[in-house]
Amino acid sequence: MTPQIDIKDIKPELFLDTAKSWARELQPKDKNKDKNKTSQMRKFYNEVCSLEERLAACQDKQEKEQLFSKLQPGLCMLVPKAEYAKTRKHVDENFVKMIRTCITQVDGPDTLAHFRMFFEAVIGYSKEN
Amino acid sequence: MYGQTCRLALSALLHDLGKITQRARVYDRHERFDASKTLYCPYQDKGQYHSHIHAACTALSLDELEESLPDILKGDTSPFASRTAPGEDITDCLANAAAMHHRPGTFLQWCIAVADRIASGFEREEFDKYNQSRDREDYITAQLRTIFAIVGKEDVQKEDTKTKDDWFYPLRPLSPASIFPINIKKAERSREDAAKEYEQLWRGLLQDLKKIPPSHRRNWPLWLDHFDSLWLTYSHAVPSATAFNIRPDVSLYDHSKTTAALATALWRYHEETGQTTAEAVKEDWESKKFLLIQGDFFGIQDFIFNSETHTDSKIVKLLRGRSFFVSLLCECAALNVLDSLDLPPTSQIINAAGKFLIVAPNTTRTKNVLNTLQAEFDQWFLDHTLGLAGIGLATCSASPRDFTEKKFDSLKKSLFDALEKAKFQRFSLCAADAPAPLRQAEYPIGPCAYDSRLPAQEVEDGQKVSRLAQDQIRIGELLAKEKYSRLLIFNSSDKIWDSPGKLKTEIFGYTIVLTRNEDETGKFGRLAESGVLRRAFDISLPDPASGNVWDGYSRRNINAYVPLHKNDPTQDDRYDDLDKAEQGEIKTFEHLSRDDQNMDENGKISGISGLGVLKGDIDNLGRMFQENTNNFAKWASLSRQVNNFFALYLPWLCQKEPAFQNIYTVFAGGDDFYMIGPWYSLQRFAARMRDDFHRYVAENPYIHFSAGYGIYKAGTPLRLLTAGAEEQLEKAKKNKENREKDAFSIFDQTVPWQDWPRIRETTETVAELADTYNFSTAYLYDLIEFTHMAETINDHPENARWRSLFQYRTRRMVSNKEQSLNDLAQKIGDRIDETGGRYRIALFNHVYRNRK
Repeated sequence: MTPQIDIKDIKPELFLDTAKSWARELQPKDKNKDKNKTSQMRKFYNEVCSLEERLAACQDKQEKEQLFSKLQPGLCMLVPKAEYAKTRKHVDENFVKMIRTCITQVDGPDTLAHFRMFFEAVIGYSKEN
Repeated sequence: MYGQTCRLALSALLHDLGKITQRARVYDRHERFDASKTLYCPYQDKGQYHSHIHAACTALSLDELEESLPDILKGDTSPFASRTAPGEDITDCLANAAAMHHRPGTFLQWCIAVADRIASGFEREEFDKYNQSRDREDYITAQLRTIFAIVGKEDVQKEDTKTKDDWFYPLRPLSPASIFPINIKKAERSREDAAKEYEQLWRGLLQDLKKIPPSHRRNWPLWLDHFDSLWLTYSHAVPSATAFNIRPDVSLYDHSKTTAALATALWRYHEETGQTTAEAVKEDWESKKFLLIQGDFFGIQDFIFNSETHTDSKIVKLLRGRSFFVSLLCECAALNVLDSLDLPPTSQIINAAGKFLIVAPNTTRTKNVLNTLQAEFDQWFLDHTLGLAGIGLATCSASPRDFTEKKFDSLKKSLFDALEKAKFQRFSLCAADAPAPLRQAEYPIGPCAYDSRLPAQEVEDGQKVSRLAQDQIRIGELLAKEKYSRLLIFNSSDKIWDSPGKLKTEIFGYTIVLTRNEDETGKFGRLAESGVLRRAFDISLPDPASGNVWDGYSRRNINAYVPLHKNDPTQDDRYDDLDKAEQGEIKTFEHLSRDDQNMDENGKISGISGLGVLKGDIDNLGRMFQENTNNFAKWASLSRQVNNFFALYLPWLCQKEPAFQNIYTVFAGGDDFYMIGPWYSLQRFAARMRDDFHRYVAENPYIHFSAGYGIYKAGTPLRLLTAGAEEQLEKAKKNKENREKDAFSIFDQTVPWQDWPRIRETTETVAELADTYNFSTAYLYDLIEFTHMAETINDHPENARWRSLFQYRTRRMVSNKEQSLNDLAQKIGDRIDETGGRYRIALFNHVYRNRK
């Protein structure tokens, strides 16, 4: 049972045990060894990074909020993309679950940053690296 | 008057001399032993025996010493009776005054007896009880306990409980090694062995007394100053009180010295007020008979560290010279007070790190003299330092009663308050005759190259310098030469031969000469006899092998260790681009900054060139003195012992341990220290110092010091070095992690000293792992970043990612993934988890040590 992900009110545990448990959960298993490969996860992670970078370039707080609203649909697209990857057996249900849980909580630049960092921690703990 | 006062002082100083010979059983079969007991020892009717046998031994011992002392029997022996003066009561002689302290009769004898009591903090009644008590059974085997062991521990405060946690001093002559206490568990020895130790001590004293130059015997204060050092050497570890089941933690030296100072002042008070009866001394415990004079050097930091940026060899000499000058100015100020009041050297109780305390008679004459002297000191500092530094005199009157245990706390507080007040009254700026707020200063040839606020007076080696700076550089240079081990102080009114060690600046009416031991000894004799030579100090460092500190002259631990080029520096590639230096010369800071660099077989140098600075002081010292010293002797003892660690032990440690022979002492004395050295050696020195200090204070967790450390380039101005170390020291003092202070601040991390071994071990582990896994510089810098993240998790929870990043980074670096990852996760990851930002200390050390 993977621990709950809370990226709104972040605590150190999110990046420690929670990220570690998710990394373990996502680890390619024997019969599914082609699922959740780091290269697949990275594709999603890079998309999150690029969204965050575009936001980071914007200094003004109001403008940043406005930009976030523009970028948010693109972020939400990651869920159907993950579902599609699942049908192609590149990732499993757990990965989709993680992406969905996080994205539904992202409501602004800060939570987006938290999501990106959590995602980073999960990849960092992944054994395949 | 001077000779008389010195005789009285010697008599008081030696009143308990018999404690050594009694315990050595020297006179057990002596033909005059019984007669002496009858004469000097109280007879206890109850048990029909003589008690306080040491008094009889004092008389017999003085007979043995007599041939090596100034004449105390014939000729002018005033105020004591002389054998050659007709019509005098010859029983009122110096030896009797010393030995009759348990059966006093005459005025002189009572002066010493009362001083003996108040030095120990006894009430009159209490002393009578003590006078009737018997020596404890184990008076021979009882050993001197250390006051350090009881600091902060109420339960072992007074009684001699002999707990396993107690510590004693070995019964050996003073040396840097013998000032360390030993745990009581190792203590027990038989009466015979103890007696043998005392006998060795006594024979050593007799032998070494002969080393004082005979020509100095006709100059009482000079001779007495030498003798004081000898007496310290042999009585520092002898327990004074061995009756009443009191915990014996005051040495015979501190007891005798305070007794001598008090007896001298008492006698002089009664002489000058015309009350020369035994009754007057014996009965009146309320009159303010004593004046305690405290001297304090203020502006030490300003005086030592005001320097322009220089990287030449002169700066190391200047710095050493300036630090030495602080001690020298204090010595001269104290000597001036003593000389002006005709007081002997034994009247100076405290003499450490810019502070002194003198016990004087509380008379109008004393006060008038002090006012004149303060004005003289002020004028000297205005003339030579434009008032940037100074020596303040603070006084506090006291009655005999004020020294008793019940009132001593309040006397200590008065002394502290008087000194605080004096600090705010520098140069009497609010007085009617205050010096002008603006002073004229002429700069005919420009400012001094080493302190641009002062006018230059001479040009030397192309540099415009003030005479003071010139003297300081010169003295700094000579101090580094082993042979210049004598410091002579002459009256300036008399002409002294010219010598390279003669200072151009006169200090408070004295001429100072730094000289070799043998070469000019012949010249001392005549000047000593005529009284022109006021003091002759042995300022050599203790012998590196034996630790011997006695060489026939009064010892002052005011010299410090400075690193010299032991090998030919031109053969050392690390110094290639530096100014050429010669073997035997003092090392510059540039040289020192490279001494921790390593060279491989191909001649490639690794490691940074960096100068470490270390500054620290003992924590809560004021509280330690306030709470743990219930009498004058104990107070003096604690002050002397605290100073000894820094002024006597540290120079010896630097000298004898190869690992620390590149540590330069800016100052070390009193309760603080400031050292400069090769950056990594200095860190190790700090840790060693802490370990040794912990042992020095009987492993008492309540006594500790804090220190601040920093690394700088060799050319950094002294002010910045000092400010940096100060800042780190302040951080260390704010450490509240485990207990107050007791910490080391380094690389912006404050580490409680008790955790330092773990950091040291971590540094070693990092080096081993770096070697095994061939760490890249980039990986090490990533680790440094992870420590930053680890220490800021509380404020930035997202930094908890460091562990995942560490795992990711490490996994990509190692080849044998699982096994290596587990190894490094445990040896690095877990340790960063445990130590947070402190792990950076180990990483910095590794990176700095290996930088190409």
